Amino acid sequence: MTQSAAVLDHDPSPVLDTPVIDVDVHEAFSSLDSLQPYLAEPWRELMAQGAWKGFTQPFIYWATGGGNRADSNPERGGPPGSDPELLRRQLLDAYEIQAAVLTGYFYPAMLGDMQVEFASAMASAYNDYQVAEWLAADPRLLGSVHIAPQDPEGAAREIDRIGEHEQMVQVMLPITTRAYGDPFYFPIFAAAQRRGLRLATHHTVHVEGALGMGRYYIERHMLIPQGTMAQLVSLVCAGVFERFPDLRVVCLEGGFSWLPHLIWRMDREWRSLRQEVPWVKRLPSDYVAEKVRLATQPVEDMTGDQWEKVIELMGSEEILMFATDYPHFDFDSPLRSLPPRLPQALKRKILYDNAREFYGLEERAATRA
Amino acid sequence: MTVVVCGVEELPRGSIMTVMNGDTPVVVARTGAGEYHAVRGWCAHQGAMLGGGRLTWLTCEDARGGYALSRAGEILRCPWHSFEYDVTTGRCVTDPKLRLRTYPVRVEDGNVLLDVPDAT
Ligand code: FES
Repeated sequence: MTQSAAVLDHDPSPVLDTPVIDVDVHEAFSSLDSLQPYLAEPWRELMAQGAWKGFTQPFIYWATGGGNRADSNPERGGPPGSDPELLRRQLLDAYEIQAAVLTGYFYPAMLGDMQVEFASAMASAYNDYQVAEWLAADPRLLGSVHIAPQDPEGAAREIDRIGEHEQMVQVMLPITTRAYGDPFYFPIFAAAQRRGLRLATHHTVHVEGALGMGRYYIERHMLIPQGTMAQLVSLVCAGVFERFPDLRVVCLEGGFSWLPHLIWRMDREWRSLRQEVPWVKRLPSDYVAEKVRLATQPVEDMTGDQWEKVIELMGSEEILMFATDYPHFDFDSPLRSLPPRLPQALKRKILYDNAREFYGLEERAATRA
Repeated sequence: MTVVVCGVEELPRGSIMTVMNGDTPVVVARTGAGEYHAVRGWCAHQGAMLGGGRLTWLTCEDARGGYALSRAGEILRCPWHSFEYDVTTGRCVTDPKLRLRTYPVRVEDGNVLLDVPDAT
């Protein structure tokens, strides 16, 4: 019997019998100062003067560790997710993760419509920081191009600038309060397609449900999927998947068990009303099956039977991709978030195969070799 | 098997300590009232190590529709999804299906002693 300083932070059972790709990992910087070396003037000097203090959320967090796992604070200080060594230990090595897609949580989209040049400069600085301090640290890490979508031309330039880095796999589309089907955003889609990058939607602290953020944090957290559903509806109805035929989208952290409802609803509406949107040429469910993937986290506590039923209703075993959301408090364990009774082949698709196909990891490895 | 966890002064009221029984962690808690309790340290939900969580109070609604806090240091909250466990019973506050094994704890000669099954 020993008293433990460094105990394993999770129950190591059951043994994982498939490889894992994690499609949503939130790396963070220690402080805004971490971006200074990568920031262009005049922003660098302004930031050095403390002219902007960074984002905060308009609510108080209620989970044990605030917004993060309470056991994810780096010993060296700094916020959860800011220490590559700890991330390696708690996530990549702990679950033998083959590849993990970094998705950040510093989204210049949250700056809104003012000073879009500043927002784009922050996105660029963040991308260079990500490349230098994260992607270089571990070949298992894959990157996301951060942009300021409120500056579509600047965003397109940024995608062209950094998107060819061999570990970059997608462009982040943070969900605030605007729908991405607006043609205003098409330069972003054109650039992503040009560079062979996927798109990834992810909520921000500004996302709202149909009636606002809710009175409580718990409500807001329950409402997040509405933002994801709204973006999906917007992209489909704007014909984005026709106009940019190579684009594919993963919806991160927005739930998945609602998908059967949404595809049935969209298909029915399309049959009735498609004259209004003739650029939507196929059944919405076709676009979804071919172009859209949903990340599993945060899983709902469903039984194995319920999982199988939902996937059957989605009409495809290829849509779900596993994510942990490390280091956030609603982290899903690769060992325990999928029910043990799920058939092995299906489990492997969710935990590994689907993401490998979506990001073309096989082809990427072949190109590099 | 009885083991010495620590001296009483090393476990102040409202705090927890993790000890390993073989490969199984046991979280020993001292409540706000000074009682000792011990529960198995893997969360019954997704398996987080509960020693990384926090000992807190029970939060209920008061007569005016506000927050009523009671039973200080009797609720152990998981470091991940924040499920709450009553350390006096091992039961999850919100899900009767989730339950942690409990172990007897006592104090003798200024030491906190824990009775656990022999580790295999
Ligand atoms: S692992 Fe403890 S609440 Fe989920």
